[in-house]
Amino acid sequence: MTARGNVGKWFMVAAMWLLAIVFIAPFYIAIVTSLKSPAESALSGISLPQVLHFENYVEALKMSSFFLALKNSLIFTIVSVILIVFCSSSAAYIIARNLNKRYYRFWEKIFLAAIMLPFEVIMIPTYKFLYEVDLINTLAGAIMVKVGLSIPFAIFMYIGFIKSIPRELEESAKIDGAGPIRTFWQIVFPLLQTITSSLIALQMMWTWNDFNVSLILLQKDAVKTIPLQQFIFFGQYTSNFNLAFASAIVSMIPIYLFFGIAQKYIVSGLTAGAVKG
Amino acid sequence: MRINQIKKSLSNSTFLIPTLLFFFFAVMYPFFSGFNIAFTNWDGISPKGEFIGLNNFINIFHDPDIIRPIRISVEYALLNTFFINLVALILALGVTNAYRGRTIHRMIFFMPTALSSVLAIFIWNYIYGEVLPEIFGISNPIASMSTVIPAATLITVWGGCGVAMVIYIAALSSVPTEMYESAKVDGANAMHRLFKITLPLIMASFTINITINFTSSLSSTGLFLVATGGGPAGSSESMGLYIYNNLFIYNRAGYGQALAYLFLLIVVISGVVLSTIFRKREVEM
Repeated sequence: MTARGNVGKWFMVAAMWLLAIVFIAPFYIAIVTSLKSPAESALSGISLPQVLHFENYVEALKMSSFFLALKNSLIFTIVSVILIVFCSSSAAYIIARNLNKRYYRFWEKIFLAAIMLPFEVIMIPTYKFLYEVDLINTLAGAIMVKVGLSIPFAIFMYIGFIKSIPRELEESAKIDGAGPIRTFWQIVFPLLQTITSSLIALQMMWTWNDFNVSLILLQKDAVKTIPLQQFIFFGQYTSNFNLAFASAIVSMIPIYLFFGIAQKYIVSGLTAGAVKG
Repeated sequence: MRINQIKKSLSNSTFLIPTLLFFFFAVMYPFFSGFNIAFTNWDGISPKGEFIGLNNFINIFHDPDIIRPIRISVEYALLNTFFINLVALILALGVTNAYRGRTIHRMIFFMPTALSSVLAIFIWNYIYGEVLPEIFGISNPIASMSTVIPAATLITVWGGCGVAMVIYIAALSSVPTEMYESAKVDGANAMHRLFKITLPLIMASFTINITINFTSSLSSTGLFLVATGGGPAGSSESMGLYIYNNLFIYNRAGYGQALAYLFLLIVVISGVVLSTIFRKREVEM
């Protein structure tokens, strides 16, 4: 019995290591390709590079206007996430505390339904609308759309969390004469720290990697974010994979720097969202 | 009293107004003004189109190309949902065992979720085009009509099963260990324990994962645009990409918007059906 159990466990651990190698292999291929010359990777896609061609990186950075895209991505992501947190936390608070009223229940239902709305359904009218108000190809327009699209999920997460917070603290703040806005930002908002950090991490990741919204709304070079700029760059450099991979690796650096810090919050955010749903 | 009430509802509005502004301009206005577009022959370029009534909606039924994108999206959504959940469940069951290396495994399986779809697709296109032919001597699977959907699925399974895995891990760790102990005493083997105890108890996470994966894969646009551009020969032009192409390529934005509402109907119906089916099988703990 125990011998059989041990064999089973040994087999399981071996299988997990094998799966881990399969999962990490694409990263390995990306890194070695980025350091090879075209001739070398034509010979073999999986071998280690003979000489490290770091000049791929220098050239890729020059050609892909990486820093402009990085700046656009930073503005797009940071401003969107701040607005998402600011708007949805306060809206969720007022909804969660007034669920006995029909008006607030109505909004709760609307936001819940909007979580399921695919962007494709409103893609054409959004494009037309931003075109008409002259916000097409501006970061401001894309931020507005991204915030509006992200708010429903954030509100849903906040409402679930706020429901579990007792009202006593707010009541006593009210007795001390604090207005509702001050009560929220000084007393309630700090209590939401767990869910706020999860939401910031998730929304940062999703906004940074956004493709759909930027594809439709940011079509000029000056406003392109990293995923979009890479979409174009990869399309142009299919003949030189090494340069394209160097640029891919560079753009992974900010994601994984952030990921290293925020993975814990991303995981807890996903879990909280799933449990509530 | 009255004044107090007005003051209260005013201050309540200050909490809601910023949200409602964004939500109105980014979601509600486009959603409803879309009907205005769907009733016209707008081409996506000129300022506006002419009113043509329900013609776009009627034309959907005469469109010989309409079945293909629906079929492609449904095929991809079924494959993707099945494999993401199968792989994620296997990974979650694996890493919740006690063994050396499980922490690093968890991290490795979750790593691809941080990549943008563009990056994931780019890496895999290279693997399909250069590396697999080199190792296995096969031709590029994403360039062939018969294998393009499975090949695209593999990319999103790799890139997306980390999220489902995390949700399964959370569900698995909430299953009380006493249940396993008593089942062991009763002589249940590992397979029995898995199918009779573990899976029924984590049914709620199946509901959420399967519903979310299926509805979001139905609306996959970027994947096919970036990976294949809809090719070869339209064999991967999904619903979302067909709508996108109607706006930017075929110059039939009005028709595209009518399609968008049909598409929403498909997504909503499948979401409701799936979540009802799985909800029924959930066990209260």
